[in-house]
Amino acid sequence: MAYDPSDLRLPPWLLRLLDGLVAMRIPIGRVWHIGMTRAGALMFFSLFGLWAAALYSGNNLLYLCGAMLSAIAIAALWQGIQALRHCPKFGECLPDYIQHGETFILRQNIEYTQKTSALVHITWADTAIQLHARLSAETSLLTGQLTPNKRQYRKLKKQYLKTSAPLGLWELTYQRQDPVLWIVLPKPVAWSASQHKPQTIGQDQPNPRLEGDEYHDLRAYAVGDSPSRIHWRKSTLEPASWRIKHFSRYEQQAEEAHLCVDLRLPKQLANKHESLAEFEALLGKTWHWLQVQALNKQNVPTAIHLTIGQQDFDCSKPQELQDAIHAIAAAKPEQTPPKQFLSKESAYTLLSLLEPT
Amino acid sequence: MNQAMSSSAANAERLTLGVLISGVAALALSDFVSPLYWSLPSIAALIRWHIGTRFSLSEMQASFIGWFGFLWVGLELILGRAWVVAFTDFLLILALAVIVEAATPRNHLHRMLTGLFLMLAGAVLTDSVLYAIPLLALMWFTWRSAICLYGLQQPGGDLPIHTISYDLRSTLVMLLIALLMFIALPRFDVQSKLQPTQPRKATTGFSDRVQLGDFARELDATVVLRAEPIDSNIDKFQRQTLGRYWRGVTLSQYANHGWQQRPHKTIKTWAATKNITFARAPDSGYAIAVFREASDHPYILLPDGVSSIENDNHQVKLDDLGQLRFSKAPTRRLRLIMKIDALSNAPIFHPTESYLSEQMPIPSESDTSSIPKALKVWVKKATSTSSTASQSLNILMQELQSWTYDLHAPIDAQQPLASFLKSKRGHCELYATTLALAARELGMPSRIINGYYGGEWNDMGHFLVLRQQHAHSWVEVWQHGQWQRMDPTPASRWQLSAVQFPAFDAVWETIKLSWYRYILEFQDNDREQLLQQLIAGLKKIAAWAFFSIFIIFLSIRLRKQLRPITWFSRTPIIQQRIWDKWLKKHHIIRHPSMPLRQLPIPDHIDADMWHKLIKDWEKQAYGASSPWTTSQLKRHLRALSTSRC
Repeated sequence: MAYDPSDLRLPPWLLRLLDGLVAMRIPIGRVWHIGMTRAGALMFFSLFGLWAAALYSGNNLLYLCGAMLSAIAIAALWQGIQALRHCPKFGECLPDYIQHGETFILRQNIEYTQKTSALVHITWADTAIQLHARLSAETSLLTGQLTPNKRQYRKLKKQYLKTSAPLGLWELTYQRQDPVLWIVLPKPVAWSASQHKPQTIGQDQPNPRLEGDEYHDLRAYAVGDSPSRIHWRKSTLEPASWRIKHFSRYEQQAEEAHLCVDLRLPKQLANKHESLAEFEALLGKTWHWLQVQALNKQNVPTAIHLTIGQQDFDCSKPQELQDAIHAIAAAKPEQTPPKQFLSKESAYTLLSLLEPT
Repeated sequence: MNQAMSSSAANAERLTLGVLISGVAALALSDFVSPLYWSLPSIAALIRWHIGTRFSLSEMQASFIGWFGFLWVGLELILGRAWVVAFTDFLLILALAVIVEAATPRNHLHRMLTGLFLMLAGAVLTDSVLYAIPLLALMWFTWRSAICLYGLQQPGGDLPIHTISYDLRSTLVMLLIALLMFIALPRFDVQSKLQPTQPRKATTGFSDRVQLGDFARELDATVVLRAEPIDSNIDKFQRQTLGRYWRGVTLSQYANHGWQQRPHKTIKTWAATKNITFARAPDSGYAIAVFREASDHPYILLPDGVSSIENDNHQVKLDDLGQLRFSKAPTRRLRLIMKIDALSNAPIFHPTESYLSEQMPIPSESDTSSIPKALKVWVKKATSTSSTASQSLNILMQELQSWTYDLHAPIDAQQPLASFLKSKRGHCELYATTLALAARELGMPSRIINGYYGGEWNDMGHFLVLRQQHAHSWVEVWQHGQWQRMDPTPASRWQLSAVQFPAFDAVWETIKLSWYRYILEFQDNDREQLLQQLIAGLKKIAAWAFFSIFIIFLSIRLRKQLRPITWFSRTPIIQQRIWDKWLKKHHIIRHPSMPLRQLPIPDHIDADMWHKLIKDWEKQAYGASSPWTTSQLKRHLRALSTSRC
């Protein structure tokens, strides 16, 4: 914004006073709050002085000036309200899920029906999600940089939109319901299911050395793939072009993949932080397994089962795959062993923080 | 405009310049401001507008101009210039400094604040109707420039500023809000120096001393007052008010070819807020609003038959000459509410019996010492056959009325009356003086009254206008125990007018009176009156309004119902024609039943865009998306034409 009273070289105490006023938010409705920008504070005091002079003197031309300037302030307020009320639902633009530690750059054109140009700051209650929308009659763009710092599964509802459009005088805050699932998955921890001993007796342990070092096929890169498996000669620097070597052993994978995740924490991990880190790593492995098994489009086993604690998902079904992803994001330490753990009939790979007995 | 500036910055540069120039224009309307001072920033602004930011000084250099203005004004004050004039000079020099200052964000702020301040100064120093133009311009420029400045340097680049057509709607809304606030907010009417003022202009014919040779020989169309009815009908007002005398100054002493007031004493004083009533018929008659222009004289012009005057804020005195005047001449235009009765030529002051026995005849009004010899001879000759003084006076008046009214008649400054009697041509002061002195020669006390007569009727705004050209002198003669008016001026005098474009003048005067009535003089009671008028108007049109609302409601309902019936609309037919015309231009002739998707891709048209357009067209045609307007279709086709592969 090009006009700021601090440009007038006001004394610091006056600027501090202005900032104090700027920090104030006054409710003007159930879901609306109003504040002032620095320029707005200047306008407010100008209007105050002008109206005082008009009311004192009865000079109708001063009344007219005051009414005109007040009309500008009111029209600005009204247009700001309209701009916020007609903002599209920004929740739909958030990614389905995001991984902890990953930076997601959001840059998306959006539909906006108003003609007032506005810069809108978007936040959700009790989150660090911050988006910016540049709204105008020509093009409207939603931008944001999302860098979640922990695994989360939250149903966000309360959204705050803030703007000082169209004149930069009044800082309007609009609280509305924009329900969205905010899913932050753990950082994937690469591991190989083949290195884990299957829990079903009688199944052969595949020998990695016999699986051959020659790749069989190339596939697109997916988040969590090891950089060592990228075929650099057939890739460029763009992540979208990265090709991942697919080794023959993956073809030998079983037609049915089943991972059972035990969400119990070991008792000997007295340090809470350490135990939580271990727990997150466990979920990271789970997420990695699910990515490899279900989200990579090639060599998908016919049946993928994931058991997380007390929940069991058939991830070959899209809805249950979504539920499984949600379950990973929402997982909490449990006291009881997983359901499949007790079953001796099916073959599965077990992930657990507990020492095998 | 500097190429280095973005288009938004260039817009902001011009818009903030507009804010400042609106302020300069508002202040320039004040008569306190010298044209030199307001023309300097105006010329600088024009150059800046034309050349752009290359025409600029650094902030430091611009501040030197500001400081120079400060010192210059100090010097002006030392030299005795009025503080208000010096103040306006300073503001305009400051405006000049801000206009030529380098284009920085701070400069935008300087311009907006200075422009606003100039506008407020203008509100106090002028009451011209033209003030509305810079005020509206300032509102528009402030709005647009604030939008533009808000969008500057935002993350991701400058925000585009929305269209002017959209802003026109916003402007209308703002005007409506401003109007509602203006009407609704209370007036406390505390008198202060912030009331709009204008320099008091001297008016001819209202000095306490009149020399017969000094008469203005040109008719002057300057408006002195406007009068309109309040609670009587317009026809009655026009009929009864148009031919009235408006009494001003009473001059009784004649000496050295000139008149002046005799010593007089105050009969009655009305304090501020006390209504002025006259003993004759207190508070009767019908009410009129008189809008008095600012003037250097304190006299209240009194129409014949005035019975009371509402007095809000001024102390008013009545003297034994029948003159009503403010204790101090008001410095601004005034609205006076008067009540007037049917025509009556008696003055408002009726001396009591005791007053009469003590004072009459007053020596100065019976003084014959200064009567020229030529006049005495003329009186003697003209009245040789009459028996009484009254009869003689009537003969003289008839004689005078038969002469010629001539503003440009040569008058001997040494012997004005002698030359007038010889040429029998002259203006009203000569006629009045001749009759007044003739009455004295006949033994009747007399005096002349300077005021206005008649006026012109404005058919557009339905009000009466008194101009300087309606200034008039007539005579009051003491007969039958009271002052009686006699007017010897020939009737041909009232055929003269200096108004060159009467139709235009009627419109302009109506606008001006509306400005005074609805803006400058708007008061709490006007709000009540406005509300009453609104309610009365609504009552009148209630049935029609109800019927109209019903019809509109019905139309909307029917439109919604009929919307699915597409055959009702001609739009698809027009759009098909547009399509056919465009295809023909691209050498494709289409059978009406042939779908567009089956047509070959026109030459030199991008295939992808063609397919996309066909897909979008069909989508809207089958209701999957909102239907296109004709202009939208044309726009799409234009885009397709320009996308030649």
